[in-house]
Amino acid sequence: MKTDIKVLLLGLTALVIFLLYSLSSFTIGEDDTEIRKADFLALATPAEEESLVSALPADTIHEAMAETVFQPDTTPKKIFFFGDSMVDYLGRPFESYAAKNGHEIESVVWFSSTTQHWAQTDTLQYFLRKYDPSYVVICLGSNEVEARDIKRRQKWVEEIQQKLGDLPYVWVSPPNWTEEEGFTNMIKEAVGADRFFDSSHLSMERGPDHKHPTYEAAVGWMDTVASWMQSPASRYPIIMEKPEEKVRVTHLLMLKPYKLRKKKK
Amino acid sequence: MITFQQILSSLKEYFTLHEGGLQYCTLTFFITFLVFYAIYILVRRGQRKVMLGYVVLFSIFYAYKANGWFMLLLPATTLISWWLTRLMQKLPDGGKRKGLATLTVIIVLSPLLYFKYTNFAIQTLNNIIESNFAPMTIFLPIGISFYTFQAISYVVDVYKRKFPGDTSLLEYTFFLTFFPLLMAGPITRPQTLIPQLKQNLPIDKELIYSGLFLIICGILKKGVIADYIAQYNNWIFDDPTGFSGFENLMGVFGYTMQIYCDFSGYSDLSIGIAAVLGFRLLPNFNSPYQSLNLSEFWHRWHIALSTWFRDYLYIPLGGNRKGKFRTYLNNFITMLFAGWWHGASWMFIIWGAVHGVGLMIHKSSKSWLDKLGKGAAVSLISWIVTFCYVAFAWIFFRASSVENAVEVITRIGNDFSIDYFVPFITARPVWSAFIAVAFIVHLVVKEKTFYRMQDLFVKIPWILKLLIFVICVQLVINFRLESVQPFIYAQF
Repeated sequence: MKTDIKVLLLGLTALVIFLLYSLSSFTIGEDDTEIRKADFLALATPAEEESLVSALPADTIHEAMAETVFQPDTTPKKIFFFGDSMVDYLGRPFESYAAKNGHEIESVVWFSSTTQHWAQTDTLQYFLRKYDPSYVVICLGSNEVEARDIKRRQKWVEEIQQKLGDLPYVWVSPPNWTEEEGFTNMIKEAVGADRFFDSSHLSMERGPDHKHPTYEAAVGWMDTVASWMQSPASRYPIIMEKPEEKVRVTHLLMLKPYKLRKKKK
Repeated sequence: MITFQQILSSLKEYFTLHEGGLQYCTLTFFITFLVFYAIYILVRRGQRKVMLGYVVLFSIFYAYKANGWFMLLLPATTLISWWLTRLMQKLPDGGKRKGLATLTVIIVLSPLLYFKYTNFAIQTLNNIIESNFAPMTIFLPIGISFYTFQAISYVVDVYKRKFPGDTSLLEYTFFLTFFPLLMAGPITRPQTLIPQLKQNLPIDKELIYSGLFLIICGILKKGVIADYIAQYNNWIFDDPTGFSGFENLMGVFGYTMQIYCDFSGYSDLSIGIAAVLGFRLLPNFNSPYQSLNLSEFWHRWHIALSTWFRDYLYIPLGGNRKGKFRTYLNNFITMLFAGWWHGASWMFIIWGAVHGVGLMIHKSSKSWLDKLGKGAAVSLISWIVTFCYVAFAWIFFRASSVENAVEVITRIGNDFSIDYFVPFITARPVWSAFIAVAFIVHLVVKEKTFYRMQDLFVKIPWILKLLIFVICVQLVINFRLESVQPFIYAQF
């Protein structure tokens, strides 16, 4: 057989191997040792459809709500606010908002955490049982915003959603200071545009570590989030009027980074 | 479940959309190439002209995928430069011949100057005379810098009678549009490719499998290493102040390896694909970071471009024939233009200037350096100085602005602590391993060893080749989705 035909057969055989593995129901290895599948499905999914999915919810909601006189839910809520280190920044002004509007709030900061941590441990279930919230706010993603394994992370986002069940929740995206591969959009599509506050367009002063906003900037961030939370753009609009004064932060629990805690054991 | 309608829509999208083109390390390119290659095998056994026509058609489609209808510039450049060169080569030596050659070069160069440098000129003018001309919305066709330089080399070589001007339009179109060279070269001389188009070349087993070996090397360099390590390097250059001096230094070394793996990987893929199709192209990189001085570096780095600038700019400027001072000046000017060729930004010009100064220093102190001999200690020091200088120059190549570059350098100078070493490799073990392996392989594998490995690959059984190929592609799939940990603040 001629060499060029052999090379063609080599390419075709490799393609068939990747295709069969991609279509198979099993996966070899798991997590870090997983042999991942080539995304043949993406080839057969027209890009136009994808863009429609992300564009549709927000537009229709605005149209539907435009002609009605809008009132947010004014009943006091038990808010559970959790996520990564950004919660440390947003959680402080959030307590002042909660005090002003009659809500109770419990915030849990899990430093360095990602969607995987909250999805694959029972930490979230533990706090849901402990606080029994009626409203949940998530601020998670700053440690994985440049992630490229979007599909894998989508599964973790879905696991978090499953844990939340029927609880009303909103997801606040981290401020995005670098280029990303679609992580923010993935969360937006997974939770729905009306349960997603996109912080990536906000301009905030960065703190000395350059990873987080300054505490002053985080107050402005919270003002914008609160304004959205009580607007018709949010699926569960609740009263979030701006507080005149700051309250002392007493309901902010801090969890150590997962890896460090493991090492200490 | 995918519906038939979705498949039709995807196919329609494939043939009509043209954002960014068919990138090598993608599933879309892999499938497209296999379809193209299957037909090519049949066509190749028939008439030579049919084969050439088939490859030209595919190359035009490839150009369309990259540039949309702006790809029309490519056939336009081809037709005009071929026709004018044909007219010119019939003229006797003298003013008319020279005038027509100059006119052809200017015409060929004009689209590149317009599309690539108009906004640069506007911004520079704004800075100089403090005007406020708005930049224009100009699309920069992918690959224009490469095919323009190929066309110029053809015109000049025919003018200088270094190459016969009897190339047919079909052969010339093939030469200028050949898809493996279209996106990022290597810039190929007419002497290398056109003679291979004039005859039906036999199917060369060694050439085809060497091509496959190069494709595998390219996949590893570009698709696995460069794309993976780029993530970390991007954070550093996006915001150097957010990272320690040690992390900035790692970012600079990381970028030094990234740009090599990216570009030489791309060249390996291009040369490999051409070889699989039966065309022998010249190597474009030769372990450049093994160089012991800057002149040697430019003999090993992007060889196609450095020899192009040597032959079409440095030598016409006078080369080393007009005394020492002119030699240094010609070197410096050549490097400025080489820098500017990379992009319409002062940062590339600064990068070229840094190399120009380095070359001037090396050439002026060469007689003194030669007296030091070639002992192990001298070689080691030479290598360290050369490597660090090249890495330093890459800062200006990669940084978005002078301030950004200065910030990286300042952080390295003011905030460097070796205490970051262990937390750094603990937080980013894969990144660190990639960099270490890439450097070790690059520095240890000599040219002879590489060709020995290539020969060995040609001889191993087909099934083993398949296994190696599958493993390499799987590595791309795995690492394409793998993320480097962004922050290591948790470790402190």
